[in-house]
Amino acid sequence: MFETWIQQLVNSLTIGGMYTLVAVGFTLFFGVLRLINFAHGEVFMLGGFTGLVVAWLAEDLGIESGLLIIFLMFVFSMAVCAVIGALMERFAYRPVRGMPVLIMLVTSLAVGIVVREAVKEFFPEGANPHAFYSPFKYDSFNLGSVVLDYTQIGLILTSIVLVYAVYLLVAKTWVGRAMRATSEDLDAARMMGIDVDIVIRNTFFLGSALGGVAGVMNGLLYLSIRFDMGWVMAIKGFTAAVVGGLGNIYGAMFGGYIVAAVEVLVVALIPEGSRYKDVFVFLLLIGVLVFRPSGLLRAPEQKVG
Amino acid sequence: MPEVDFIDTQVAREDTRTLAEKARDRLALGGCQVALFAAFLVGIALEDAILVTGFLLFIVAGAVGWGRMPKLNSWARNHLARDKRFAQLVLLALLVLFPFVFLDNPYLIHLGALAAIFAIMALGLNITLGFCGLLDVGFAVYFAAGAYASSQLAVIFDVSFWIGLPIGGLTAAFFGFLVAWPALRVSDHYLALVTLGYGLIMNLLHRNFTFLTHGTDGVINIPPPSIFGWDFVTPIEIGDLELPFQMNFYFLALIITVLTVFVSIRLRDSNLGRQWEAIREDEVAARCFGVNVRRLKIIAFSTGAFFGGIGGAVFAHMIGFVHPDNFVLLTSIMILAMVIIGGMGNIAGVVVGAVALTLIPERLREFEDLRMLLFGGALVLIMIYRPQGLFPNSRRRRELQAEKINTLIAESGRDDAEAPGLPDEVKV
Repeated sequence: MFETWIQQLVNSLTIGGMYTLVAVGFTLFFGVLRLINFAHGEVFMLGGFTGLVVAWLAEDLGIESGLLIIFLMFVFSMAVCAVIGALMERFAYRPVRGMPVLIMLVTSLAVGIVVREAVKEFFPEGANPHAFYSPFKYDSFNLGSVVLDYTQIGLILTSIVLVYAVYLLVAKTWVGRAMRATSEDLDAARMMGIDVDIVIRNTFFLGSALGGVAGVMNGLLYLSIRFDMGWVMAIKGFTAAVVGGLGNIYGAMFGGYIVAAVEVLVVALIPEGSRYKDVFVFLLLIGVLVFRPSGLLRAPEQKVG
Repeated sequence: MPEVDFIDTQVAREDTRTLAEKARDRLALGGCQVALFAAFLVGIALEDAILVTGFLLFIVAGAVGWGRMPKLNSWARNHLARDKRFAQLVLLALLVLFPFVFLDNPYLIHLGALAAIFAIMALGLNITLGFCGLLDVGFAVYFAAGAYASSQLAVIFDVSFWIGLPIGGLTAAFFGFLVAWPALRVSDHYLALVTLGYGLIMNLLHRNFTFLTHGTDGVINIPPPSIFGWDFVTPIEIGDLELPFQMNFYFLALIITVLTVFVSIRLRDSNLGRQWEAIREDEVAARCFGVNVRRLKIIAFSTGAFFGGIGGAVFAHMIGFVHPDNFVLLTSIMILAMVIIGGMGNIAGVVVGAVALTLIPERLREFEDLRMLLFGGALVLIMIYRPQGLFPNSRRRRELQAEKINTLIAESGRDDAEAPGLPDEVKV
């Protein structure tokens, strides 16, 4: 019994880390642009595919070390996704900035469709699932009677390190301060001499890069990627962001783990739970939006824009 | 110069035209309509995807050119307004004629029926979104509710379509009522997320509640509607001429669409519609003037959903097969896009949007999956260059212009920037 619970904890920490990385992106975009970037899930998917391409290239180049390849995957998918995210912002979201909610919403949905279909059409065999590269597939070690997977441990550590790095970036640096200022009040930030365009671009760099990392992590964990996997992750991601309070960066860091915990608990406790786990995630989404729209972590009377 | 708005400012003027002038005007108007309709027929009869693309580009170019000529625009609108009843009759006659043109191509008639069904649903969403301003990204829920309710009644209990149809609508209205409760407490982004989550939950339930929906097997063998023992799939024969049975569905859908348009117009101009409009414009102000916002929002959700359900019921009985894949998020996005592209709040525009978004993808079948890519790209471009839709509701058009100007003012960093060409009311 005890072992199962440890196992569930490890599972939820792994996927929670992934959700958190995606959620941070959502919450950052919402903060600076008041936009729910539905295309973010597709950036996540692109991250996975970039990782796959890097792995293929690395094999061609004869790179042996699994760790190095994984490192390269992370770096390249961060770079590619950051650029894609910034391009999205420049060419799709900037023209509709300040428009009514509906317009921005439909724009982001449409951008998501474009990215997803582009991968499906132009990636070789894009419509089929692709086996992902993973050097440590079956490597695990025993801790007492608990079997732990190296990949999972690695992913948990990676996500914690990254989330902490984001925390430092947002809390301690000038760039982060500009981001927080813009989130709080775009006009006031502008009056204080912050170049809002650059801040928004930086935000998209950062958020999309994290999404890309999550895409690679997803591939390493499930060993298979598909062009349409982004959408599910987008829902989990913004549920996590909503749980933490949309626009609240620190909240999003915990939201991912909460969503993952709910999912794992539903699967563990409810018979046939795996069929209904997403239903519970969406119920969590609706419930939080209706009863605690500012997120679980913030005092309910504080109002968010 | 502030833009003169004909729809808002026009008062019923006495018709001073002589009989000859009237006849001339109507002839010209009817001629234009017939010409446009002929162009439309040519467009949907095109088989080759390249030709269709060319045709679409031609239309886009025409529309852009048309937009550049405000004088011609208002002149045309003026003429249309003067002979409105006549224009409506001509349009109706043309729509009735439509299937007779394609007697040897029943697939096109089928497409016409499908377009009419989606027009019903888009008009439903138009009530929620266009009239009351409530963002609903889960409209497929109501589509599904109507389709499942009426089809299962027919399959299991052998209930006639004519009873299943209103029950399907009411079931959908109930689902609209269900989401209205949480939706009342949130607005804007949060409302969009709530309805989105609702749509996703419902789609998962369609897949998993197999005792109600047969899950991913779908509901099969849905009987076609019948009337006095005559089945809708039996072709009508007039003399030697056998009319394709798709025509029966086309006329069924057309009649319901016309009814929906009629109800929409009456709703818009009713007390209810005015109150919805007030809520859409400013909820707080509406409440101050004694509008029961809560009640009206619930009514808006349910009424919109009702038409979604009606559309779903007709759809189920026409296709004869209902599957959860019909009711995914993409369906909701499609219906949403119909309303937005057509022009939110504008009934005629929404119908045009629905017809366009049903027919164009079908005619571009040769491009296969590339269609979706094109759809997404086109949607982005429309959002950027024409967010008010093709035929905007006049008030909404001004709103969006104002938002754009305000953004520009904010971007330029100068609050004192004059907004040229706009009335004072839009400056904040």
